[in-house]
Amino acid sequence: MAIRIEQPMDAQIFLTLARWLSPAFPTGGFAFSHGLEAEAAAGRVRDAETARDWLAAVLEHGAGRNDAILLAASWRAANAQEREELADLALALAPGAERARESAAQGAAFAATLERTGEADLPPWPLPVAVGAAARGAGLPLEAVLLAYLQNFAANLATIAVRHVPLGQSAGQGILAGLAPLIARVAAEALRSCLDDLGGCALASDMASLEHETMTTRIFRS
Amino acid sequence: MTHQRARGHVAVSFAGERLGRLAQAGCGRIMMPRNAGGPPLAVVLNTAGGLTGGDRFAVEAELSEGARLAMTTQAAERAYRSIGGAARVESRLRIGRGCTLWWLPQETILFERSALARRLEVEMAEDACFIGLEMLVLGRRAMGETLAAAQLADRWRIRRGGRLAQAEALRLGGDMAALARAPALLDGARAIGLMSCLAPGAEALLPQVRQALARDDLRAAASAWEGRIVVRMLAPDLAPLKALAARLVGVLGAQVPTVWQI
Repeated sequence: MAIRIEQPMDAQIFLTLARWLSPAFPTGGFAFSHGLEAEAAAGRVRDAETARDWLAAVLEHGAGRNDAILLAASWRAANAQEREELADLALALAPGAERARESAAQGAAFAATLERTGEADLPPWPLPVAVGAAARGAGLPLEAVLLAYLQNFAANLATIAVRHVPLGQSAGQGILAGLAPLIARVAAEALRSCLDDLGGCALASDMASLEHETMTTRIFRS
Repeated sequence: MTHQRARGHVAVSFAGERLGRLAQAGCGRIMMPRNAGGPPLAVVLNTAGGLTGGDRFAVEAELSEGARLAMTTQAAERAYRSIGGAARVESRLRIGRGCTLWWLPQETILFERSALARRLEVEMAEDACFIGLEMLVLGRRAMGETLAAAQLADRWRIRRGGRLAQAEALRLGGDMAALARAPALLDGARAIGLMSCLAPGAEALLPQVRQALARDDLRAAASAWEGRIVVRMLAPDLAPLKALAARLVGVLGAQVPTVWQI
């Protein structure tokens, strides 16, 4: 694993990261399934193996990688104007209305919470842009932020899979443990990326997020 | 063996109903066949017959003073095996106030070991109308072609009223067979389609669009928000994809270009 820190990570940095990018942080992530609800309803995600493959594909070829690239660009951005443009880009890349809302609503909730805790004062940017900006402001190292962001993204979806596919609790954790090398690889790639590297081919998962809109019974907002 | 790199450029502009610029260079040709009962139709042709590594092809269009224009390609665009470097295709479309552009190129076919980098840049006024289509074929099933290796970077950036409204970034490469199989990626599709309509009040057409999608020969779904409708399509082959695209063109109030082979 490639967290290179000469000294033990500053306790404040570690604790901030663990708190901001944990499922307990109130971004409302539990309400968004990223199309997984539609995949499960159609039987494409039906057991631990198909859930793992779906999650790996989304991380490597879909929003996982793109969010990581956007987060890195926001972390590096020189000013709010650059981040406004990244915010537009993040929303413009959404394949449909629900995924746009998923990113926008979580980012707005993240910013609102940091405003209430007095930790940051951010506009309601989409989640990866908001996290990148806040992390930079708090002096959090980019690589650690990328790892934590991707793991949090995956953990939220693994939890949804556990409850709604359904899978056993330990199967969900097994999936996450198995995805650790991929998460590290996607984070490392994002660390070296520029915006021209954006893109992917998670077309069927994008399709599922559109199909989700017309499901008659649904629990999730995406 | 040295490869003769092809260069092509075409440009068209309209101000209201008046044709302004009509330019072509290199292997680029642009024709304006008579198009009774609809807006003018500009047909783009690459006389090189296909794209390969190092080729460059550029298309420009500019509409002002309420102009209406339909654009398409004379035939399918073929990206052939590339020996070093990617073929680059860039299209820049400027759609002024009250103008309408239907961008309805025929399909692009990727062949084994092709490398294609394509960009579509649209600058449109807040009240302009843009209908854009993309159809991509990954090996032709009827010919028994299955792609093992190919590179594609296909990028759309649509700015409306100066702000980015839609961005698409399709990247294919590496182990194509694995991407093609994965249920979250291509889900077995050999033909990929995207149709986008940006116009004031475009959302209102969503029910009619969804009605047209109810087919069992491909996967297609639509979403509408903030003055746009997007339809995404995954098909086992080109035929059902192109048939649906033709239907959607009509539902969105445009016309299928007369040169289309369906």
